[in-house]
Amino acid sequence: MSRRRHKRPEEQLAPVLPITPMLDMAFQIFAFFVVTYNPSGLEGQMELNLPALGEVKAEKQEDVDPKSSDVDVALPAEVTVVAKTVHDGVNDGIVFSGFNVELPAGPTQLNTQDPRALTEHLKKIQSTLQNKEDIKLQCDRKLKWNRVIEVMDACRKAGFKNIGFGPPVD
Amino acid sequence: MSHGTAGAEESPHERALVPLLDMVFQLIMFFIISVNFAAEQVNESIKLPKSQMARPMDKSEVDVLFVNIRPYREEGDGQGKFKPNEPIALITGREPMRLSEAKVWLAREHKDAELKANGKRVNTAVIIRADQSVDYADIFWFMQACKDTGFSKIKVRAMTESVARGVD
Repeated sequence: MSRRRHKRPEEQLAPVLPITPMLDMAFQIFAFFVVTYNPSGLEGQMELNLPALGEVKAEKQEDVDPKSSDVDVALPAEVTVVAKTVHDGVNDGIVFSGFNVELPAGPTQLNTQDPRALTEHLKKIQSTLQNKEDIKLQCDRKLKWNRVIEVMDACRKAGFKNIGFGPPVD
Repeated sequence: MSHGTAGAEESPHERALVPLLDMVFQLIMFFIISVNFAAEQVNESIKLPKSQMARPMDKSEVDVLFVNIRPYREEGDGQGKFKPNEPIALITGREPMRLSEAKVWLAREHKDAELKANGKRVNTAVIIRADQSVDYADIFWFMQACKDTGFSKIKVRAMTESVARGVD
């Protein structure tokens, strides 16, 4: 007498999972995230020139050794930008009150709050300089860092590649 | 990981899936852990300034020291150790510290780097992640501190232009 085996109700309802295509897709998604995910990729960075030692600075363009990799022996920046902020007790450090552009020939004062005007002015004077790559930046003590970065951007847009910093002016 | 039972037959395909799944999980764990390590270097409480001229990061440079600088906030940091709005340095694995204390830490790091360099020039770069609300005087002081302690490579971090637009 043969006994027929009856399936239980839960066995009949058990779904069959298509594991292989699921695994394929999981691998593709996994690979995509591995390749594209970058936690700090949204940040950029700017290299800075530290103030060089005065005694090893070259005095003239001819004194600079183009083969030298020593960053300390470089032509000093001919142009210094002084960024000033208002001192009204409300917008201290946030709003520019103007920029001074100091050259060996003499300073120029820009009474503007817009760093784009500084960029235009720097572009004009750059052709008259011997050292067209270096610039020194000095700011008011209370000027906020985001404003300093705006001035750095203005200098770089004008074509100056190396930005050095000087002590606060006030 | 294979749990074959007597009577239940497994096809060769099914048997191959188990170690495959093991490996996928191990890889996922590895990436999760390494992502956490990368995230620890930066500090989420820092609001970086926006820059149009910031360049993408040089991933080949591995010899770096991250220093996060921001003003002290009583509501988030608790009271007591610092004055309100005093600039503090946040360094991975260390308690928040004053900039003067960070200078001492830098000096120690430079000494260690010198020992590792074995007579050669120390090539470690200090990466400053400064909050946009920090005063210029404080950042300048810290840059001077880097120079005084012997570091010659300094980089500052900022949010790149495309992201800055997206945030706005």
